Amino acid sequence: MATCDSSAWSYWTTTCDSGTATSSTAAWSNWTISYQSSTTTADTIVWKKWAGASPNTTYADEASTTYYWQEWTGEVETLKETREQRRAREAQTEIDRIESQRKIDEFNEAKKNAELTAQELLKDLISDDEMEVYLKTGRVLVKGKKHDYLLVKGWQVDVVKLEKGKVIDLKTYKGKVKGESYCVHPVDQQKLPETDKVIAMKIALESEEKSIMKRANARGQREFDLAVGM
Amino acid sequence: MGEIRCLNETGDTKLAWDPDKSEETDAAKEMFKSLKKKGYQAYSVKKGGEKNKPIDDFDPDAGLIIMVPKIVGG
Repeated sequence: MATCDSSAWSYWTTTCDSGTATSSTAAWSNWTISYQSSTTTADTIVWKKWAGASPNTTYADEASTTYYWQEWTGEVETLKETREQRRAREAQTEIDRIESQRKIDEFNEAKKNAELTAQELLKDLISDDEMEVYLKTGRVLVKGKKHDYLLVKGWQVDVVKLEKGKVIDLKTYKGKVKGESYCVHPVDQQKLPETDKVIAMKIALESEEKSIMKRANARGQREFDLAVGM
Repeated sequence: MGEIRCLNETGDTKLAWDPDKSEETDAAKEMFKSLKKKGYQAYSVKKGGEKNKPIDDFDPDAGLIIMVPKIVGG
């Protein structure tokens, strides 16, 4: 028959604590420190060390290597850093942040310039009035052979097929207009500035409407109030 | 004077040529052929749009040629 001393489970759960278990073998008590006020020695106060509760107390064996929880979570790494190491780390973090921001700014600047370049080209292709409307609303009217099209600038240019002759020009038309929206765009469109996508679709529809619309996928009716934005 | 404008991530890349200068015309033709190989569609373009047309061969007298990445359905 197992005695309390030799019953591992009893030791673990401390059911034996008040009986014959010696303090040094009452594993659960040691773990939970409930036993510490009696005969547990400091080096067996496992839970406190694990949870990092002891740094503010005065246990004899508070070497940093026994702060299991802190080591586990990496806190000790920070605590062990010298002042110089911390300064170096913080300086590197700042350098990385500045470099990362510089790359973002450079990318945004290039994107902005690309859009301005594209707008310069569009200006060469449409009238001043049409450009004025485009800059205000992002819309261009394209006159195809069979239909007219409303192009609306965006991440993906919206191509809306209109009844031929329904809208003569976007600057003077004041009502609403309805048409079928189509998904058709230049390949790898994410690389192009938004106005380049408009230029691509304008030229393509003016030059080979039938062939382009064969590739297009209808995606439902859309209605636009052409007075909005003007 | 003629000019190729190739739509790309910078907005566009330009190359102008004088039809009377063979070196310039050859350079433009090279660019045209290279972009066609990459799948670009070339359009001869006039302001107003009515006379725009797709072209498969380089035309030194085309005036403005705009090279557009292939158009696809979504």
